[in-house]
Amino acid sequence: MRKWLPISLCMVAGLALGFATGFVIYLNHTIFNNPAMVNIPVRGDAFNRVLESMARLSSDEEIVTSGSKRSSLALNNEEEMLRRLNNVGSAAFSPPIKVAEARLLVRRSFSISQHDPQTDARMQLLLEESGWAIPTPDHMRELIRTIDRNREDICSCDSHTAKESQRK
Amino acid sequence: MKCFLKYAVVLLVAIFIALPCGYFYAERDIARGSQYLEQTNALSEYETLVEIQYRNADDAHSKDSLLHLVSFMNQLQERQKIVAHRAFANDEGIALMRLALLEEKAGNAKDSQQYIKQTRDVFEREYHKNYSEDFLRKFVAKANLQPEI
Repeated sequence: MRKWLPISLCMVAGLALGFATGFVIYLNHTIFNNPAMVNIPVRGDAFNRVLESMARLSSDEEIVTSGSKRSSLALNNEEEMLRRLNNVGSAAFSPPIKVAEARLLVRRSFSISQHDPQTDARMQLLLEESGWAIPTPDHMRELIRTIDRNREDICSCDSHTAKESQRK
Repeated sequence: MKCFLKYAVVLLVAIFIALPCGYFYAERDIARGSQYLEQTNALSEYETLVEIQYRNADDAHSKDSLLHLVSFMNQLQERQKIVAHRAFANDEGIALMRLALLEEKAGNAKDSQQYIKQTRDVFEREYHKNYSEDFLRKFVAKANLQPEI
């Protein structure tokens, strides 16, 4: 009995350690493939590239709208994702990239709190090419403000509902 | 020394046995969540951009972006298991009904009816119910009245 006890302990410790290491290795792999991370190559065919880039674009938008300290990094990531989406070409499932580009320009102008005439001209061109009825930068800025306000309302409404259900 | 070696070998063997178990357990546990996150994030971002385009662009550009969205959703359905399938069906239905309304506006009654039929098929597959055209029109009208997000 005395002889087997240390061996059993070693076995149990080894199993626990091995299981935890395997779990951590996979977790690590997932974290470093997270859409919010920087400079991860987007792999696969055109569809997979669109899927991954859109997921990352979404995460970056979340970071930017939350007003986090990482906003400028997220804006750079958005730019990189749009560049990658542009490289996908005119596949049948390509998203409205010009709208996303115009939105990025608005976000950048919000972050520096000033309007650059060159940026406004670029934004106007993008919106005209997208066939907008009112292709003005002011309209786009107002639209983004409205979207952000609506998102905030939904978030505050959701947290209020969650608190109410907790009370019940 | 010999005894220490014996324990070390047992420990190493146990680690090598349990390591793949931990890895595959994590894969099974986390991969689904990770795929869910990627799928919902990508779709919501795509839909947001198309929604902005639909509400602000002319009919030709709106139609183009909606067609791309429907194509993207079809590809996604072919390649992956849809995790939030009810929300997916609703969104697909909205996109198809918007296309139907645009075709109707352009005077293409046949194409419009085709999209309405496709919407009905999507809803029938998800809800096992045959919805009327009137219901589908009210459904998309309600979606169009929602604030922009």
